[in-house]
Amino acid sequence: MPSPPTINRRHLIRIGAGTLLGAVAAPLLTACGSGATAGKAGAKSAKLLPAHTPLNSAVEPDFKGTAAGVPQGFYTYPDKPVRSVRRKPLKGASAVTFGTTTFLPPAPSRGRNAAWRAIERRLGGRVDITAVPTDDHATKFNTQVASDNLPDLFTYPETGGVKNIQGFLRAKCADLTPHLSGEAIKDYPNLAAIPRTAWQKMIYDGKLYGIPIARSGTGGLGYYRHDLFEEAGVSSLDEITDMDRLFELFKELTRPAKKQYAVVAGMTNTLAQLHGAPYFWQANPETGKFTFDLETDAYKAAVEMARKLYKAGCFYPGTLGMTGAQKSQYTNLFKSGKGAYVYDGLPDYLTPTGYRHSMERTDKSFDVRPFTPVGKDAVVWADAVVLSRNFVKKAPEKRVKEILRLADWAAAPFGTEEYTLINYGVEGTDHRRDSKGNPVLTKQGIQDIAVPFKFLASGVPAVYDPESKEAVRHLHGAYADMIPKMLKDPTLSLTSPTWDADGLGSLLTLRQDGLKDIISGRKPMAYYGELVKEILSKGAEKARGEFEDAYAQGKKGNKK
Amino acid sequence: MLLLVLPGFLYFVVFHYVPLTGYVIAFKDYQPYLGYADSPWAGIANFQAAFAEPAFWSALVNTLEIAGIQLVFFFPVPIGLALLLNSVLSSKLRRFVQSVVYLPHFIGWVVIVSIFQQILGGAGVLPNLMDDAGMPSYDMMTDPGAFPWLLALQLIWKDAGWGTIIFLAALLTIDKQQYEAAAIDGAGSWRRLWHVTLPGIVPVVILLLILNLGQILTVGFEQIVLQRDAVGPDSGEVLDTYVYYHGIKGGDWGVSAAVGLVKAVIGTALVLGANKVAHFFGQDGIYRGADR
Repeated sequence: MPSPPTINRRHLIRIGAGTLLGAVAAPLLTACGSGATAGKAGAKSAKLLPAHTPLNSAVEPDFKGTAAGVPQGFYTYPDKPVRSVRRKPLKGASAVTFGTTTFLPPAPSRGRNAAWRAIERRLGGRVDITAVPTDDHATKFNTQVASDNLPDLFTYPETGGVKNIQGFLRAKCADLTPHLSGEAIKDYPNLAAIPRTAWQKMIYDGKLYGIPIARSGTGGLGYYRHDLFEEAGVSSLDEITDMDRLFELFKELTRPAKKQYAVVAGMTNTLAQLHGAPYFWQANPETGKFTFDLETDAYKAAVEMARKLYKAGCFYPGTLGMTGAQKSQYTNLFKSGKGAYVYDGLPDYLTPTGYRHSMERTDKSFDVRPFTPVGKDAVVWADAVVLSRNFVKKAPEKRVKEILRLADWAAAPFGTEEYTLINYGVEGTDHRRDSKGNPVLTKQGIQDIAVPFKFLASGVPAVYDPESKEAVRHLHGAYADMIPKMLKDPTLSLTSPTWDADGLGSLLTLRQDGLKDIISGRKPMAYYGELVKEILSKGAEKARGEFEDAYAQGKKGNKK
Repeated sequence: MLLLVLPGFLYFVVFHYVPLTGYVIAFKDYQPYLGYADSPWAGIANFQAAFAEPAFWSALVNTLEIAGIQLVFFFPVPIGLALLLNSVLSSKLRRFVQSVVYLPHFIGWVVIVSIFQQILGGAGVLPNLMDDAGMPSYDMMTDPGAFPWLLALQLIWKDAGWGTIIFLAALLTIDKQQYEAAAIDGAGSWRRLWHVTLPGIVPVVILLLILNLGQILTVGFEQIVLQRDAVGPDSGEVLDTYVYYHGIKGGDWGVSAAVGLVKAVIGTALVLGANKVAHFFGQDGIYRGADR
């Protein structure tokens, strides 16, 4: 669940002030382009996509990756990281500014940060990074847009961006098509290794605009406590053959006297996937008709089940209504052993503060594992193709090339010299090698590497954990299980301006509010139909039309 | 001397008056990347869009309900507390109590909401005690009907102490001789409260009441946004959260500004209206026109 950025009156006033500065500069800007025209619907031409060239990895992984997105898995870190990019990418370039988000506390500044200095020495130039907490990202971004102070390269906020993204990109951002499309990407081999599905998300208005921070495709189905499941008589997820069994299990796992509840926060998305509902949109390849997820029986059944679970007291009280700002509160309930299931993204499994290790530290008996599809109808959504998108501010060709070289450098894969610098800093200061040769961050290193260089660009991250082979097996196994079950998202190759503007904004709010009302029993199940109608009439129906047109257009294009 | 006013004056101009012109986006189809000179005019379309939404009206009703309850139940609490504090004679004890009651003001809403969650929430202390006592357990945090009362309760917990500051200052300005004179005339402590203390602070009370009316539609954003989903938008949505969820989150700056402008106009009207009423009752209110 994306956390809503908190905006208070002071922020608004600040934005208002920014707007004014923007107005002063406005006459200058408008010379660069007209962007008022609304976005167009259309199919994204496959010709725009960069040619995919997997890298010959310098190190043999313990688990192989696949082109579909299953990441490579590693038990140990390579002894001698190889250099991926030969030349200094920023040699002779002026300082590059980069605006992004961070999940970590602020890092020490350049002067006191060995890793940052080492990276810039290696780059041959300066990178000035402004990273704000995710909750403030949209505020910062909109202020930068309104005051025309965009950095050279910036992460686009996934919620709370501009309403007309096509117009924005046309007016403000560099078209990367000539640099990256097709064979052109060969100049940037690390970027060429990023999966094509991730690049599809970077196409707008018939052009390639963004650089992806790629992920495996699925964010997973959350986490469960294997030890508690076992106690309740389920020693393997395969034993949960249908949804009735899952319901019985969750009832069994709810023991308020022990302060233990089956589910912490909501699990509507997981239930929808277990019931086989599509990820927002489903296309019928024969008729070209699109179905909205809420219209499917599967989604409705999932909501009914969530409602039943709520009524049976299976949700930790109060957590269903928590927002993203309270995420740490409800995930901590799970981490401290108060729940048997929680939804959170898979990348949070193996990090030092992630589920596996933080829970192990709390209590040795806590055996947390990624939840994987159960039952015969289960599908997996392509809901994490990218973590985020970076766009390049309009600039002369030479400058764009410098920025792309920087992105290519940062996208170097697991085990390379670049990757080591970004993730572990300088050997001796930021990390030491343990007896098996795995880098272990020092206290200084934990702070130093908080500079988000890894958000400049990224391929699919590898699964690696030096402490536990079992953990690597669980996580890699979950990906290997889920990615083949992943539904193809028909909208990846299509553009609908209405969906771009409202799909993850006002329509999502309506959906989340309405579903919470139904699941918590504040409104009857009969309200479901009304809710679907309202969402359709407020934009989803229009988006459907645009998707269908674009789909038909794309089909025609393919026949030619 | 006038020079000393300059920093404050500049502050108001730069951070309050100049941003007011930003309200022009209420009448525009504002796109941040076009800047606000070049965004197309939208006339009153933004207002029409907001007024056509049942959700807007429901948010307005909720806002008024919450504001009403806050005004009636929160506003008098600091006055009462200040009177109590004022009657504590030991200055050491008084300072200690003051520090304690000021403290919650500095705690963030996220923390306060989770404290209430721990106490009143479904898995919290109170429902557990009720369970143990064999009573049906009650989760106030997810009861839509109790929502405005819950908000008022939290507000009292957080800000009642802080609110006493101004009243305590007002109490200090009352001339001690008046108490002595009243005591000599045989007035007991209640009589002194009624005839000396309260009239002494009435101007301040009225001033704050009027200023509060101006803020009446601003019932607290963070506090509500954190708890809105626990009771659903039908009873948890107020104008500020409406603007956030329906405007800002989706990049609809025009509609957001339009609703904000509506709020500001209502607030200004209430302040001016209440000021007139105060004059009618012979009080000064927030200001008085030149003597006629």
